[in-house]
Amino acid sequence: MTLRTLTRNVEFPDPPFIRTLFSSTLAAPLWLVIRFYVGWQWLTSGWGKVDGDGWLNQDGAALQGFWERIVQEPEVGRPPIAFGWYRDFIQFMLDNEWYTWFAWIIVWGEVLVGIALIVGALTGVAALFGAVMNFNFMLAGTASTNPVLFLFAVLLLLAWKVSGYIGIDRWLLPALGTPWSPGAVIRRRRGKDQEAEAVE
Amino acid sequence: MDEKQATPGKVAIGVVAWIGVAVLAVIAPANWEGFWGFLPVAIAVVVAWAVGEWVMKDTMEEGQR
Repeated sequence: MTLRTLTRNVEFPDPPFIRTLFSSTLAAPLWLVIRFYVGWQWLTSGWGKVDGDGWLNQDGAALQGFWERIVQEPEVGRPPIAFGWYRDFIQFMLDNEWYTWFAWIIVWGEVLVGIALIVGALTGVAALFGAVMNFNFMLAGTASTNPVLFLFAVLLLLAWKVSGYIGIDRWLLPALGTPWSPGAVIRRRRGKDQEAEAVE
Repeated sequence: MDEKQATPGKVAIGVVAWIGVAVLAVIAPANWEGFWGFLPVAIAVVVAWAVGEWVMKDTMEEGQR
Protein backbone atom coordinates (compact mmCIF):
# COMPACT_ATOMS: atom_id res chain seq x y z
CA MET A 1 0.00 0.00 0.00
CA THR A 2 2.79 2.43 0.94
CA LEU A 3 4.72 1.54 -2.23
CA ARG A 4 1.60 2.13 -4.29
CA THR A 5 1.15 5.53 -2.70
CA LEU A 6 4.76 6.45 -3.41
CA THR A 7 4.74 5.28 -7.03
CA ARG A 8 1.37 6.81 -7.90
CA ASN A 9 1.68 10.00 -9.91
CA VAL A 10 -0.30 12.80 -8.32
CA GLU A 11 0.20 16.28 -9.72
CA PHE A 12 -0.79 19.34 -7.72
CA PRO A 13 -1.53 22.32 -9.95
CA ASP A 14 -0.07 25.67 -8.93
CA PRO A 15 -2.52 28.34 -7.74
CA PRO A 16 -3.40 31.02 -10.34
CA PHE A 17 -1.30 33.65 -8.54
CA ILE A 18 1.85 31.53 -8.80
CA ARG A 19 1.10 30.68 -12.44
CA THR A 20 0.68 34.37 -13.25
CA LEU A 21 3.86 35.32 -11.41
CA PHE A 22 6.16 32.67 -12.86
CA SER A 23 4.60 31.68 -16.18
CA SER A 24 2.60 34.62 -17.51
CA THR A 25 3.86 37.51 -19.62
CA LEU A 26 1.70 39.78 -17.43
CA ALA A 27 4.44 39.50 -14.80
CA ALA A 28 7.20 40.39 -17.30
CA PRO A 29 7.39 44.10 -16.26
CA LEU A 30 8.03 43.04 -12.64
CA TRP A 31 10.83 40.72 -13.72
CA LEU A 32 12.23 43.47 -15.92
CA VAL A 33 12.67 45.73 -12.89
CA ILE A 34 14.31 42.94 -10.87
CA ARG A 35 16.51 42.01 -13.83
CA PHE A 36 17.65 45.63 -14.19
CA TYR A 37 18.50 45.88 -10.49
CA VAL A 38 20.42 42.58 -10.27
CA GLY A 39 22.04 43.02 -13.69
CA TRP A 40 23.21 46.54 -12.90
CA GLN A 41 24.71 45.38 -9.57
CA TRP A 42 26.71 42.67 -11.37
CA LEU A 43 27.75 44.93 -14.22
CA THR A 44 29.01 47.77 -12.02
CA SER A 45 30.74 45.31 -9.69
CA GLY A 46 32.47 43.57 -12.62
CA TRP A 47 33.34 46.84 -14.28
CA GLY A 48 34.88 48.15 -11.06
CA LYS A 49 37.17 45.12 -11.07
CA VAL A 50 38.07 45.62 -14.75
CA ASP A 51 39.21 49.15 -13.89
CA GLY A 52 40.71 48.25 -10.52
CA ASP A 53 44.09 46.81 -9.66
CA GLY A 54 44.79 43.18 -8.78
CA TRP A 55 42.13 41.47 -10.87
CA LEU A 56 43.04 41.56 -14.54
CA ASN A 57 46.59 42.67 -13.73
CA GLN A 58 49.21 41.97 -11.01
CA ASP A 59 48.49 38.21 -11.34
CA GLY A 60 45.18 38.48 -9.49
CA ALA A 61 46.76 39.93 -6.34
CA ALA A 62 43.40 41.28 -5.09
CA LEU A 63 41.83 37.82 -5.23
CA GLN A 64 44.93 36.30 -3.65
CA GLY A 65 44.67 38.74 -0.77
CA PHE A 66 40.99 37.99 -0.33
CA TRP A 67 41.57 34.23 -0.28
CA GLU A 68 44.48 34.58 2.17
CA ARG A 69 42.29 36.61 4.50
CA ILE A 70 39.28 34.26 4.50
CA VAL A 71 41.20 31.02 5.09
CA GLN A 72 42.53 32.38 8.42
CA GLU A 73 41.25 30.71 11.56
CA PRO A 74 41.46 33.21 14.45
CA GLU A 75 42.26 31.93 17.95
CA VAL A 76 39.30 33.86 19.31
CA GLY A 77 35.95 34.14 17.55
CA ARG A 78 34.62 32.48 14.44
CA PRO A 79 36.52 32.12 11.16
CA PRO A 80 35.12 33.88 8.04
CA ILE A 81 34.39 30.51 6.40
CA ALA A 82 32.02 28.33 8.43
CA PHE A 83 32.61 25.06 6.54
CA GLY A 84 35.96 23.28 6.80
CA TRP A 85 35.63 21.64 3.36
CA TYR A 86 35.13 25.04 1.72
CA ARG A 87 38.16 26.47 3.56
CA ASP A 88 40.21 23.48 2.30
CA PHE A 89 38.95 24.16 -1.22
CA ILE A 90 40.01 27.83 -1.08
CA GLN A 91 43.37 26.80 0.46
CA PHE A 92 43.87 24.30 -2.38
CA MET A 93 43.24 27.03 -4.99
CA LEU A 94 45.56 29.36 -3.08
CA ASP A 95 48.36 26.79 -2.89
CA ASN A 96 48.11 26.15 -6.63
CA GLU A 97 48.02 29.88 -7.46
CA TRP A 98 44.66 29.59 -9.19
CA TYR A 99 43.98 33.25 -8.39
CA THR A 100 46.10 34.17 -11.42
CA TRP A 101 43.37 32.94 -13.80
CA PHE A 102 40.37 32.63 -11.50
CA ALA A 103 40.26 36.41 -11.12
CA TRP A 104 39.57 36.67 -14.88
CA ILE A 105 36.66 34.23 -14.59
CA ILE A 106 35.12 36.22 -11.73
CA VAL A 107 35.51 39.60 -13.45
CA TRP A 108 34.20 38.58 -16.88
CA GLY A 109 31.58 36.33 -15.27
CA GLU A 110 30.20 39.31 -13.37
CA VAL A 111 30.23 41.54 -16.47
CA LEU A 112 28.58 38.89 -18.70
CA VAL A 113 25.92 37.97 -16.13
CA GLY A 114 25.17 41.68 -15.73
CA ILE A 115 24.79 42.28 -19.47
CA ALA A 116 22.76 39.08 -20.00
CA LEU A 117 20.32 40.04 -17.23
CA ILE A 118 19.96 43.61 -18.45
CA VAL A 119 19.26 42.66 -22.08
CA GLY A 120 17.32 39.54 -21.02
CA ALA A 121 19.33 36.98 -23.00
CA LEU A 122 19.08 33.42 -21.59
CA THR A 123 17.92 35.04 -18.38
CA GLY A 124 17.48 31.75 -16.50
CA VAL A 125 21.04 30.64 -17.29
CA ALA A 126 22.45 34.07 -16.39
CA ALA A 127 20.49 34.08 -13.12
CA LEU A 128 21.81 30.59 -12.33
CA PHE A 129 25.43 31.69 -12.81
CA GLY A 130 24.74 34.81 -10.76
CA ALA A 131 23.24 32.71 -7.97
CA VAL A 132 26.28 30.39 -8.02
CA MET A 133 28.59 33.40 -7.58
CA ASN A 134 26.42 34.84 -4.75
CA PHE A 135 26.36 31.42 -3.08
CA ASN A 136 30.14 31.15 -3.20
CA PHE A 137 30.68 34.69 -1.94
CA MET A 138 28.38 33.89 0.99
CA LEU A 139 30.21 30.62 1.69
CA ALA A 140 33.40 32.68 1.71
CA GLY A 141 31.94 34.77 4.53
CA THR A 142 30.96 37.86 2.52
CA ALA A 143 27.39 38.94 3.21
CA SER A 144 27.18 42.43 1.65
CA THR A 145 24.41 42.51 -1.01
CA ASN A 146 24.76 38.80 -1.76
CA PRO A 147 21.73 37.48 0.19
CA VAL A 148 19.37 39.89 -1.59
CA LEU A 149 20.93 39.28 -5.02
CA PHE A 150 20.79 35.53 -4.40
CA LEU A 151 17.09 35.69 -3.55
CA PHE A 152 16.33 37.72 -6.69
CA ALA A 153 18.44 35.35 -8.81
CA VAL A 154 16.46 32.34 -7.54
CA LEU A 155 13.19 34.12 -8.31
CA LEU A 156 14.41 35.02 -11.82
CA LEU A 157 15.43 31.40 -12.25
CA LEU A 158 11.97 30.17 -11.23
CA ALA A 159 10.42 32.63 -13.69
CA TRP A 160 12.87 31.75 -16.49
CA LYS A 161 10.07 31.38 -19.08
CA VAL A 162 8.93 35.00 -18.75
CA SER A 163 11.68 36.85 -16.88
CA GLY A 164 13.38 37.75 -20.16
CA TYR A 165 10.18 38.35 -22.12
CA ILE A 166 10.81 42.10 -22.24
CA GLY A 167 14.24 41.38 -23.63
CA ILE A 168 16.05 39.18 -26.13
CA ASP A 169 14.48 36.00 -24.70
CA ARG A 170 11.25 37.15 -26.36
CA TRP A 171 12.80 35.80 -29.59
CA LEU A 172 15.71 33.67 -28.34
CA LEU A 173 13.71 31.14 -26.30
CA PRO A 174 11.16 30.34 -29.03
CA ALA A 175 14.06 29.94 -31.48
CA LEU A 176 16.17 27.68 -29.26
CA GLY A 177 13.34 25.98 -27.38
CA THR A 178 13.99 23.58 -24.53
CA PRO A 179 15.28 19.98 -24.36
CA TRP A 180 11.66 18.76 -24.10
CA SER A 181 10.29 21.13 -26.73
CA PRO A 182 12.72 22.06 -29.51
CA GLY A 183 12.52 25.57 -30.91
CA ALA A 184 12.24 26.76 -34.50
CA VAL A 185 16.00 26.67 -35.15
CA ILE A 186 16.37 23.10 -33.87
CA ARG A 187 13.25 21.90 -35.70
CA ARG A 188 14.51 23.41 -38.97
CA ARG A 189 17.90 21.73 -38.54
CA ARG A 190 16.28 18.38 -37.76
CA GLY A 191 14.07 18.76 -40.82
CA LYS A 192 17.12 19.35 -43.01
CA ASP A 193 18.86 16.29 -41.52
CA GLN A 194 15.81 14.16 -42.22
CA GLU A 195 15.64 15.46 -45.79
CA ALA A 196 19.32 14.59 -46.28
CA GLU A 197 18.73 11.08 -44.90
CA ALA A 198 15.75 10.60 -47.23
CA VAL A 199 17.88 11.60 -50.24
CA GLU A 200 20.60 9.09 -49.23
CA MET B 1 1.27 26.20 -42.14
CA ASP B 2 2.49 29.11 -44.20
CA GLU B 3 5.16 30.72 -42.05
CA LYS B 4 5.58 34.47 -42.58
CA GLN B 5 9.10 35.84 -42.36
CA ALA B 6 10.18 39.33 -41.35
CA THR B 7 12.08 41.15 -44.09
CA PRO B 8 15.90 40.97 -43.75
CA GLY B 9 16.10 44.74 -43.51
CA LYS B 10 13.73 44.86 -40.56
CA VAL B 11 15.51 41.95 -38.86
CA ALA B 12 18.81 43.78 -39.29
CA ILE B 13 17.33 46.87 -37.61
CA GLY B 14 16.20 44.73 -34.66
CA VAL B 15 19.59 43.04 -34.34
CA VAL B 16 21.43 46.38 -34.51
CA ALA B 17 19.09 47.78 -31.83
CA TRP B 18 19.97 44.96 -29.41
CA ILE B 19 23.69 45.16 -30.19
CA GLY B 20 23.41 48.89 -29.44
CA VAL B 21 21.88 48.09 -26.05
CA ALA B 22 24.68 45.63 -25.22
CA VAL B 23 27.34 48.18 -26.21
CA LEU B 24 25.61 50.88 -24.15
CA ALA B 25 25.43 48.50 -21.17
CA VAL B 26 29.19 47.95 -21.42
CA ILE B 27 30.18 51.61 -21.67
CA ALA B 28 27.56 53.18 -19.35
CA PRO B 29 28.95 52.13 -15.92
CA ALA B 30 32.38 53.52 -16.73
CA ASN B 31 31.13 56.81 -18.13
CA TRP B 32 28.15 57.84 -16.04
CA GLU B 33 27.71 57.67 -12.28
CA GLY B 34 25.07 55.46 -10.67
CA PHE B 35 21.51 56.17 -11.72
CA TRP B 36 22.58 58.28 -14.72
CA GLY B 37 24.44 55.28 -16.10
CA PHE B 38 21.56 52.95 -15.44
CA LEU B 39 18.80 55.14 -16.89
CA PRO B 40 19.92 55.22 -20.58
CA VAL B 41 20.50 51.45 -20.51
CA ALA B 42 17.04 50.79 -19.06
CA ILE B 43 15.40 53.05 -21.66
CA ALA B 44 17.44 51.43 -24.45
CA VAL B 45 16.26 47.93 -23.46
CA VAL B 46 12.61 48.95 -23.62
CA VAL B 47 13.13 50.79 -26.93
CA ALA B 48 14.98 47.82 -28.47
CA TRP B 49 12.20 45.51 -27.33
CA ALA B 50 9.61 47.78 -28.95
CA VAL B 51 11.70 47.78 -32.15
CA GLY B 52 11.73 43.96 -32.02
CA GLU B 53 7.94 43.90 -31.66
CA TRP B 54 7.65 46.21 -34.68
CA VAL B 55 9.98 43.94 -36.68
CA MET B 56 7.88 40.85 -35.85
CA LYS B 57 4.48 42.54 -36.13
CA ASP B 58 3.67 41.32 -39.64
CA THR B 59 4.88 37.78 -38.98
CA MET B 60 2.55 37.00 -36.08
CA GLU B 61 -0.98 35.73 -36.21
CA GLU B 62 -3.72 37.87 -34.68
CA GLY B 63 -3.76 35.96 -31.37
CA GLN B 64 0.02 36.17 -30.88
CA ARG B 65 0.23 39.95 -30.94
